[in-house]
Amino acid sequence: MHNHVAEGATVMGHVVQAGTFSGQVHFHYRDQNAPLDLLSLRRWLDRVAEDFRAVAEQDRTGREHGKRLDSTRAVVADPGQESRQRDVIRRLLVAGLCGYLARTRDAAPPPLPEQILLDLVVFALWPVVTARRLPRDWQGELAEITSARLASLVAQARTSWRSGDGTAAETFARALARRSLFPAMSVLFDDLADPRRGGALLTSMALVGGLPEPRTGTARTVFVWAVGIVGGAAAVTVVLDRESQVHRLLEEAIATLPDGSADLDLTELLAEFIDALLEQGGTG
Amino acid sequence: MTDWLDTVRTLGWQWQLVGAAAAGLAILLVGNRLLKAATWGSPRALVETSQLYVRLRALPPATLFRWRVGVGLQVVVYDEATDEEKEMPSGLRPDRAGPGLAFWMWGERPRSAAFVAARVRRDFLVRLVCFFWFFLGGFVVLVRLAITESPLWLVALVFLLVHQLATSATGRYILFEQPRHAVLLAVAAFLFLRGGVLATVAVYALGAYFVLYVLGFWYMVSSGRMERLAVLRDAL
Repeated sequence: MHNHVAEGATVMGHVVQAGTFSGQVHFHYRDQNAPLDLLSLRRWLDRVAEDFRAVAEQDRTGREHGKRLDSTRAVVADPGQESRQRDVIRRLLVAGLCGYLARTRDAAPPPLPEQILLDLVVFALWPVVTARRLPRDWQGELAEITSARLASLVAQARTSWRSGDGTAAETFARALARRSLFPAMSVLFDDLADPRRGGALLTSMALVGGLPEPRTGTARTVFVWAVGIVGGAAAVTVVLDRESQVHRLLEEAIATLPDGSADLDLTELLAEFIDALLEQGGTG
Repeated sequence: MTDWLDTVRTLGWQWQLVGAAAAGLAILLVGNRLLKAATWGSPRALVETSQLYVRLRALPPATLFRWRVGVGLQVVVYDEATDEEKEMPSGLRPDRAGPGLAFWMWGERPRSAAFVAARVRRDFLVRLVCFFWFFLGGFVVLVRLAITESPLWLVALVFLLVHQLATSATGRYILFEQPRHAVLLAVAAFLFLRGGVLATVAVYALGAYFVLYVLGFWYMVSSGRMERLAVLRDAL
């Protein structure tokens, strides 16, 4: 079955995908449904930062959340700034994801879990697609926390977006929907479940954005947390149903995650130590 | 140096024997480590590491590397034509005795080509330090000692030269961590401490032995059979 999305049109069609999404998937990403670009994301972050400071930045934990929020706002303000290259892509993804969750949690849930999964990925990645400048190695950073294929798709979407294509979001969503996203999603949620990688950032951004605190620990718990916010109990039931295709594909993807991926990387510490020494030598 | 040597030469042969045994062991242990450090910083090592860095930087930016237990370092590449992610052997085998081995142990999580390139760059920087301190430093110190102290240091200089030539030609570490070398060194040290003509003979004989040992190793490793064995070993 062929789907064609006309300018400004809402398409509800039967979609044939490579084993991932099937059924009535909605590709309309306009107006109220448009994913947040960097400017909109920045406005949302500024607003929640103001609200957060008014009520919660009194204690130590609140100040830590505030620090992470500020660094994310700085990244969203200018993702290409050389001095802030560290974790730029992770911060953009988390900001996009939390922005989406905060916006949709009071809205009517999408009818299909597949729609929720697609929206989660599109909204999380859209800030990366729309960023004018990104660090030089952004594709590698994105591939590490998702997959090589997704990073390549985002690169294509960026080209499309920069050429002024008004339907870039729909095109991007259709490109995603044709492929199995579960491997990339499991890697991403595994990253967000680890407090030493994206977990702490996700917790801070979720709390600042007025979302329930995510249950970090495994990719599965973070995934269920996100699906629960968007789709409510009904969607969670589908995701946890052992007979459902979503559950099966998710479990298959999670099973391929590397063992010990959450282990502390001692060589990272060593590398940072040497970098610090070199920097000291360079400035001294 | 002459003062303490004169003092030791006045001691009894028993003390000289004990001193020579300790010196033999110490020279073997310290010497091996210095040779290894000089090899880390050899021009060949620097060139190979920099070439690897350039190759990594030239890869598609979304390329990933991941360690597979029992398999080795795999590379994950996205093929747009077939829309598939292909995982295949990377062909990269880090120097297991190298100074930057720790930089390669990042766990099983996939890491980007840029990340691996950054690790290789650090490996290169460590090797560059080794080049100045141990490779270049070794030659400079030996030349200086040969001029200011004793022409006998020329023996060590020739040995280091042959050793580094052989290392660069074969791409192998050439080390001497064997008990018989400790005994040889101890005997030579004893004769050296006894002084006289024997001291000079001992130094030249020892130098000739180690130079011939290196040349023999070089010849053996360069033979076709050994090269085939090395290929098989690397494939494991």
